[in-house]
Order: sequence, then C-alpha cells, then structure tokens
Amino acid sequence: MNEIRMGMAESRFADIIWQHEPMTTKDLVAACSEVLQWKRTTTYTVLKRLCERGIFQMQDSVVTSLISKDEFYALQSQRFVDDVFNGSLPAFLAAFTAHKKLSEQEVAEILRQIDRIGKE
Amino acid sequence: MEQIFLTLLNISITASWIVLAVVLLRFVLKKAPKWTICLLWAIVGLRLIMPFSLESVFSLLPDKEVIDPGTYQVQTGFDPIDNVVNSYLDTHSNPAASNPDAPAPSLPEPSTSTDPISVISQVWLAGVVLMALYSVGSWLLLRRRVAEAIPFKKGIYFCDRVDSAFILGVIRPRIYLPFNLSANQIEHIVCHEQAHLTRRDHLWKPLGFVLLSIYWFNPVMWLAYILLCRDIELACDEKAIRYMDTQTKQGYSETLLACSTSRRMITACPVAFGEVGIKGRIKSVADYKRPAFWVIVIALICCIAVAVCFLTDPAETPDVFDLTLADQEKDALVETYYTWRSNQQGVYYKLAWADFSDTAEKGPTYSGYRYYGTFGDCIVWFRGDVKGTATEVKIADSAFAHPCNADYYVNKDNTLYTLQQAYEQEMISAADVAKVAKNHADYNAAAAENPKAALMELPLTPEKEQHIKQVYLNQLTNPGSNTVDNLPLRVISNYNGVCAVWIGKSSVTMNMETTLLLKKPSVEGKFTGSYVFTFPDSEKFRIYTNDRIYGIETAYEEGILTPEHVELLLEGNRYLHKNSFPDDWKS
Repeated sequence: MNEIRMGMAESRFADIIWQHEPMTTKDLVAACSEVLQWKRTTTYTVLKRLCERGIFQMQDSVVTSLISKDEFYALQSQRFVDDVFNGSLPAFLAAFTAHKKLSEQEVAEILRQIDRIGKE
Repeated sequence: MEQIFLTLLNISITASWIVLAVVLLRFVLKKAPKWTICLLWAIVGLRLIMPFSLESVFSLLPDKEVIDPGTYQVQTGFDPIDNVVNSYLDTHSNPAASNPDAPAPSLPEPSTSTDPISVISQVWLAGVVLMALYSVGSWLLLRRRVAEAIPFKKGIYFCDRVDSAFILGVIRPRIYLPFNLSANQIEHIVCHEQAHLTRRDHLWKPLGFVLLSIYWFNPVMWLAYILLCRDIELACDEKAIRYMDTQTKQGYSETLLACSTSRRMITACPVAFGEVGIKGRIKSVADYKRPAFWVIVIALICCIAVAVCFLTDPAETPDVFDLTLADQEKDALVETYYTWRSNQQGVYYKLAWADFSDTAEKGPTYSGYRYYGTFGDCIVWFRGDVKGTATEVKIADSAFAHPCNADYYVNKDNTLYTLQQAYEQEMISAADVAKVAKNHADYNAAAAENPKAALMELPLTPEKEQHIKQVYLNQLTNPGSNTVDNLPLRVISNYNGVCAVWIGKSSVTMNMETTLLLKKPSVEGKFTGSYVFTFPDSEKFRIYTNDRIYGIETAYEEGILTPEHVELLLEGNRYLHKNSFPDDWKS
C-alpha cells in the first residue's frame, strides 16, 4: 500500500476513471484516445499497471476504483508530510506560510478543520 | 565489399581534411552566426555522400587516393609508410604475387582467410551494424517511453520519466516536455524546440548520425559529429532568442541552466534541450548580438570557398599526353635512345623528335616519338608506329594494344629501360602502367577515327609490291643482279594511288646525309619556305604511281607528289621510320 504513487500522466488517466466510473474498458479506451491521444495498447498497459498497484480493478471488462480520489490524495499528502517534514504538520504549515500569507478566509477554514479533527 | 570499404576509406580521409579546415574556420569565424557554421558541416556531409565529384583547379585536396581499391596500393605521400604497408599487403593479400614460380592455385583463393583488407572490411561492416542497432534500439525505447505522453498543445506533449525536453520523429516530429516545468520555462523551451523544427534539425542530426555510423572508423568523424551537435544547438539558440528582449533572454539562460542534464551521451535521435554544451550556450546567449551584415557575407564567402576548394577534386595533373616536354628534354631522350639503340644493334640512324600535335588539321602522328608522362623521376615515352596489325602485349596486368614496332621506353637518370623492365624494377607502379596503357588505347582510338588514317591505304598487297619492284627494275638501265625476289622494298605511304617507297640496296653507308628541299606552295605569290627531307641516301627513296617510278623532286614538280602527301611523309619523320630500311641496308 505504501507504493501507491502515480506519475502526472497516470494521474490524468486516473482522473478519467474516477470521473466516469464504472467504465467499460471499451469506453475507457475511447476516452483516453480522445482526451490523451493514447493508443489502445497504451491504455491497457497503464490500466494493468495501476491495477497491480491496487488503485483500480478490472472485472469482466468493467473498470472500477479501489480507492477514491479523495482517499488517494489524502494518502499522498500524508506521505508528503511524512517524507519531507517527518510527519510534522505544524512544520509543514510553517514552511507553507513562510512565503505565502494566508487570507482571512483560509485561516477561518483551517481553524474549522482543526476543530473537526479535534472532535474525532 | 572490400572495394566499398576502401572507397569509403578514401572518401573519409579526404573528408577529414575538410573537417580540419572547418574546425579552423569555426575558430576564425567566432563572430559569425552559427547557421553559417552549420553550412560548413553540410559541406562535409556532402563530401561524405557524393560518390562523384567535379574537378577544379582550386581544389585543395591531395592528388592521389590514399589507397587504391584496385591494387590495394597505398600512397600516403610518405614513402616509409607506403613501403611498409604495401609490402605487408603484398605478401599477405596475394601470396602468388610474391612467389611467381609457385604453381597457380587450382581453386580461387578464398579471400576471407588471411587477407588483411578483407578482415578489416568485415570489422567495418560489424561496426556499422552495431551503430545501426544502437540507433534503432534507442529509438524504439524512446518511443515506448513517450507512448504515455499527454498532449499539451499541437505537436507538444508532456511526458513522465523524461529528463529533458526533446524532439522525436522525422516525418511528424513531436516535442516532448517533462512535467516539472514552470510556465516560463515551458515558453522558453518550446521556443527553442520550435526553432529546431524550423531549421529541420530533426532531419540533419539523424542524417549526421547515419554518416557517422558508416564512417565510424575515422576518429575525425566523431569529432565532427560532436561539434556539429554543438553548433546545431548554438544556431538554434540564436534563432530562438533573435527577437527576445533582454528580460526574456535572461529567463532563457536561467531555463538553460535549470534544465541542464549531466548526460554526456552521443545520441542520434532526439534533438534535446539541455544536453549539449550548456556552459558555452549560456555564454553565447548572454553575448548574443545581431550579427552585422558584412560578417554574414564574409562567413558565406568562406562557405563557398570551402565548397569549391574541398568539394572539387584536383584537376587531372596533365602527366599524360602532355605535349610540352621541353626541347632539351626531348633531345636528351633521343640522345639516350640513340646511344642505347646503337649499343644494341650497331649504328642506327638518329631520328629527330617529331613535333606532335593532335590538332584537327594534322591529326595524330603515325610514327616517331610520343611523350607519355612523367611519373616521379621516370619519363615514359613511346617510339614507333601506331598503325599496323595490333598484337596485344601485357605489362603489369595492363594490356597494350601493340601495333607493330610500338616500343615503350622509360628514361630514368639518363638510362633507358623498356617499360617492362621499369615495371619489374619497380620504377613505375602498376597504376602508372595502367595509365599509360589507357592513354595509348585512347590515342589508338583517336587515330582510328582520324579520317586521315583512312587515306593511307597500307599495307599493299604482295602482288602490288611485286609489281612496283618490277616497274623499278624495268626502269633501271642496269639492273645488275637485282631481281624482283631479292630486291628490298619498304612501302612508306600509299596516298591517292601514289606510293612513296624505299627500294633497292644502298651503295653508301648510312651516315651520309643528304638534305633535300621542296618548295612549299607559294601564298599570294610569296615564298613561304620549304619542306625539308634529310635522307641517308636520297637515291633510294622513290615515288611510284601509274606504273612509273619517279625521283622525289620530279614527282613533286610534276604534281604527282602533292604537298599534302609530303606533309604526311614528314609527320613524325614517317619517311625515315626504322622499317623503311631494308634488312640488309647496313652493310
């Protein structure tokens, strides 16, 4: 599970599935061909790869996701903070706001989130 | 295949000279726009591709091929190298040549076993195949990688797992960019890559690599390719930043720096951004100034000069059929010949050197001397008759269509040798012998075409000769012991029914000379000079026509012997040809 990563191209591919799932492989190929200009073989290759990584699954030519998009990016964020800030969210926030001022709205939003987490 | 390899070897050596010249010019033309330098590389490429070439006097290329594909003889111009290499090649590539007494092999020698040229050729072919495999392999790998690229704009794609931007594709080239670029960087890089496309670099670079694959054995070619790649990038930078303001140019430099990769590989396919010579390029971008018009002009003139000097072969040095041997040299040759001949066959009449010219009026000469060329310090010349039955003579594997009494001589250090001797003693190379043979063949062909040759209807039939002898005898007041059968006769000419002959035995020794003058036809009533005959014995030179024999003066006065006929007789001293003397002349 720790190896759930995606490159930028793969993310775009994943977006298509997340947006339209469940999809038949036929539809997926058509969509990739139009949006990404991918050949059929390429679509299948990438799909197989992401299935092996446990992000999507294919059953009877129908593609569904094993992790939702939100879950996936949540995992990514967590990994990022783990890797870069040793898991310290405050450190991340400090770094993030070092060059960027937060607007009042954003501060309010963050406080709301913290409240929500604190209550869990 | 050995022929192909040797030809390519020769081409690559001549091309190396051009490369060195271009390297020099690159240094000199630093201020010039880089696209002019790329033109110079194009000239190198042309030379490597063109199988033929034009000749010009401006050529700066060396005269001879370094290695002769026909005979495997090496001529680098440095004798020590030539001798060593040639002797090695001779003993190893053709065992029969070094031991002429060995019985000829019953089967053709397999050329693969010990022949060094053959081995080298195969190594070359293997190298080409390796380079081809490398190109195709890396192209296929790259194609796979960019299969998952995402379109960005028309012809531009983003791709994971690529380090730098590049162009892939020859017919429908596409620009591929890595993902982690800022908008600014994207703008600069796309500008650069599109400049590549406009310049068609995605065609030139692979073409250059193809040439490199063929000429891989020549290290100078690798240098050329590396410099070519650098110059392409520099030219492309110049094109990209041409219309940029200072700020954008600065951003371009920063992008260059940010995107520089440490990869140093020489690649064929992708025209990549950030692969080649980053330091130099950043500096060039910073220093870029629109080049002055006159700088461009000078650079272009240099390109044209290089093209003329190096794309043309040196004009055939006129070392055969050069009719301008100095008079003293001609006399020296004659002197040597005369001495040699006298030593061989007793006293011999010294013939003068004829004035050869292949002009339309005179046509090629029929007898006398002919200069065939100077090879090193050997002067090759020819003395004899061009007409007559041709028997073939072979010297050094070159066939000489050898009409009667054609003799080839070689003068070296005031000593005379026959051509055969000169070849055997290695004064003349087989290639030079071949040149002489070819030119003689050409000369024979020209002589055969010459209408004047048809005018001389020789030889006469035996019956006619008998008849002439009979007429002569009939006219003698005292025939003596002469009969038709024992009367010596040599027919010199048969022109319009008039024959000039040497007939009868001489009563004087050969050294007595008589000069005879026949007045040339007057022009507008003015005396224009005389034809000069120098006879050893004028009494025996006769003109025959219509069942009568005349002396030469009478025949001329009565118009039987025409000036045209006289000129034919005088050409090359035809009337004095060796064959003109009956065998028992010398008593």
